[in-house]
Amino acid sequence: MHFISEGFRKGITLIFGLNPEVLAILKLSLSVSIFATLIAVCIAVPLGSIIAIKKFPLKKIIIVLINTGMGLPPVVVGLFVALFLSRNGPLGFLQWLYTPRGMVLAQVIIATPIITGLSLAAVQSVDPKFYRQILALGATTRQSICILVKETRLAILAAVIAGFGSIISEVGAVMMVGGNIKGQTRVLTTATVLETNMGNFDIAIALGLILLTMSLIVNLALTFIQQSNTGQQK
Amino acid sequence: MSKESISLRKEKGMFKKFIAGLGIIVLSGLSFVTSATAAQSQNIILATTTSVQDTGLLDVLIDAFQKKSGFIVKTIAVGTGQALAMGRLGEADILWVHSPIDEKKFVDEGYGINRTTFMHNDFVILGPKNDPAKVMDAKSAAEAFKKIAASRAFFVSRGDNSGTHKKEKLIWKEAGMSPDKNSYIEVGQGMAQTVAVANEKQGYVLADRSTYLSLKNSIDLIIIFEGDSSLINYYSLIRVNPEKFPKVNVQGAKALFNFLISKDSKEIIDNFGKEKFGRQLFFWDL
Amino acid sequence: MIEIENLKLDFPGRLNLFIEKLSIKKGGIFAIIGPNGAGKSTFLNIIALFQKPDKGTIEIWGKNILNLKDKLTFRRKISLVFSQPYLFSGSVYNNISLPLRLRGMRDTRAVDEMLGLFRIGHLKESKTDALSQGEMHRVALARAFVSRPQLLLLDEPFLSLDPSYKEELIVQLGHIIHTQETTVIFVTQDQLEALSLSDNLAVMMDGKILQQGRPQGIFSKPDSKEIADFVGVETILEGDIFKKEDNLCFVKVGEKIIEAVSEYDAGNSVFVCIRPEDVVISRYADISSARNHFKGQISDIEPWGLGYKLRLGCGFSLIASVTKQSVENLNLKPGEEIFASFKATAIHLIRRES
Repeated sequence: MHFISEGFRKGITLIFGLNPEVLAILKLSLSVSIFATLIAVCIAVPLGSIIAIKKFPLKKIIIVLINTGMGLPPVVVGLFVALFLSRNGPLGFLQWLYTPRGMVLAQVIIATPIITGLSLAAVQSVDPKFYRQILALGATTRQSICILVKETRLAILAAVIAGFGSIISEVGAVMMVGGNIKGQTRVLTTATVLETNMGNFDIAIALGLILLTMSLIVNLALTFIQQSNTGQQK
Repeated sequence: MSKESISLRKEKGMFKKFIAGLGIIVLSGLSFVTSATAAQSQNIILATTTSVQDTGLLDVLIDAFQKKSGFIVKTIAVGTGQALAMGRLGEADILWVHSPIDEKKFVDEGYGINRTTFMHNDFVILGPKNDPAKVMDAKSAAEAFKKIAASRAFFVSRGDNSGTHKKEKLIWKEAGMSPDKNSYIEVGQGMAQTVAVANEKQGYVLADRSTYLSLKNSIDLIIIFEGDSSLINYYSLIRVNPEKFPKVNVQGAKALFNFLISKDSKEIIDNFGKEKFGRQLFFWDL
Repeated sequence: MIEIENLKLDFPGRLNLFIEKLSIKKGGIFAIIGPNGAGKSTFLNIIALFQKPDKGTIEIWGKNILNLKDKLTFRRKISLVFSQPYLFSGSVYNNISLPLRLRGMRDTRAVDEMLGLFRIGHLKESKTDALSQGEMHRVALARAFVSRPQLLLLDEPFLSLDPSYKEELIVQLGHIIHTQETTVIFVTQDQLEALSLSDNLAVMMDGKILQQGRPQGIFSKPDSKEIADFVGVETILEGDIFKKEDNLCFVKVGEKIIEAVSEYDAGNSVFVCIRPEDVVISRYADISSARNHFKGQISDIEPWGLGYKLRLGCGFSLIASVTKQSVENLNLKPGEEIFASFKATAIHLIRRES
């Protein structure tokens, strides 16, 4: 039992001691997940909005698929991405396996359905007459999406937070696609698993605490932005 | 009028900050996107086992190699089974594994070349202090296993096709029996996890000495049996056959191979563990 | 300028919209009135290209808008206001300037002009969630006008407003529309709104247009009992014309006789329509030159708009509208006996099946 308290003590030391290896792992975790979230947002928010407002055949089925995609197990995504990026795989020529780019790719695939599904729900919750009002004022489809997203920004930001949260905390995909290589593709989650496997519980707990703290800080920032907008919302 | 303009200005200010923050992140993101395009022939994929990684020996050797050669080694630490499977697909350039029978098969089937056994350590059987299966009286590893099975004490296995797991299966085969179904636990995880489970269950487990030494202070299990020649654990290097897999980085694999069997490597291996554990963990075989 | 032919849209089980022919002239305000579910909003939706009809044509500015490839250009020439203001979050200024910004224009003068026209200049920087209902409606209207639409569609825009506020806004809106030279199609259930704002009117019921023309004409001469009911003819009595002299009909209603000017001949069964505004109340008999005088008893007094509605029993039920002043001056109370009179020319007869 004593190793749990040891772990907390170790954690504080590593954090405040600014251990370079830990800092590198931290920087990579944040870069990969934030970058992947940004790419996912650029795809998912417009996609979710368009699906919400347009009528087209098979719309219900597509929504079912998106909602299913929200629950994609990261490790399964990681497995398929790793297979595709492997030397024998169709995307092997990219040579992204065991690199951060591959990890970003896998995380984009995990986060996109989540952000799409939640953005879709956010825009669908708007009174359909409101959308007609926007069109009647002379907006193009692109313009109306911008307006709708602005009007539902509280919920859309929640979607972004959910997307980021899902990928900063996952370990299966980044392990499979990244390989947890020291100095190259090791992130907080995979390092935590490694240290646990090696029996270094104190370091593992420390890394876990750092991950939680990092996640808390990023979410604090996003939530601050989200809630500061409530003054403007009806 | 003024109140509204202040809030408008605040809104614009916050927005600018947000964009600035995004900009920094995107730029930092771009940094790894562009850096990865450094010549791909600098990368060597080494498939190895967790037992080498977990002791820390792998890091020391690879660091030394990377500094000297300028190559970047992508170390994929998985079980021996998966490492050999990667070799069979040409997904690795060089293997560092510890399962002689499977290795020989690998080479015979034409997937590997230059198989070189270059170092060893040994396995030990760990168990509870009170030793309910009376393993201490055993004369060989196989006999120890027989006693464990007969006593129905818990036995915890890696269960993951790693070199350790394959060694364990060999000893069961040598003992001529299967473990007792009700007290055999297959964990499917790394060595430290497996030992931790055995510790919880106060059961027996086959572990490599190096892992035991690093966990010694946090578990109640002790070494119940050691020293049998069947417990010696040989590590070999195998280059993945470039004739079968043209995508293999031949230059890189050769360079790493040569380094690992060099005098520099021997020196590192000889000294490894002396400071931390008080004794040498791995022994040079060339 | 707007020609509609054979427009048909069926909602099985709900509504069958069918407009055989409808013309709306350029400039001026065209109102469509009808009860809930009549198809008025559907009609506007079709013009705004939100719903596609099963068949028919709508020609606006020379083109059939139902076949347009470029919907955006058409939409940018029109504007639409719903019964909910649907304002965007942000300032009033940003809301009003939106249509201009969507078109790539920046015109602070136009926005300021709208702020002035709708008397909301003092709200320029206010946030939309801090406005009252009435203020929100004004912003919505200002926003609709700022792009100088050639056609403005109003879908029950005054539905949720206070009556007194409504009147003021309607008068102002009327002025603004006429100075801007926009053609307006305005849809409502409230006949008073239609009466005060529109130049031409159509009555829509069950998806069909039953009567069109000048509002006064429809209100005083509705074609059917249903329309009469809807346009606020409060007194509709069943009677039979038993005698005709020149153009004057003598109609037997119960025990009483009402004289009305009409082209119907004797022998016809009719509905006698008397608008409450056309009934004159007095304490004494014979005070007016009207042909119809009746003594009656007030059974009910009820507030109605800015005045009162009197229900009288004079051998038949008669509804009269009176001002607040009259009620006070004549000391009108339920149970009181008074005299009611109305001109023969004020009565409208509608033929009925007997």
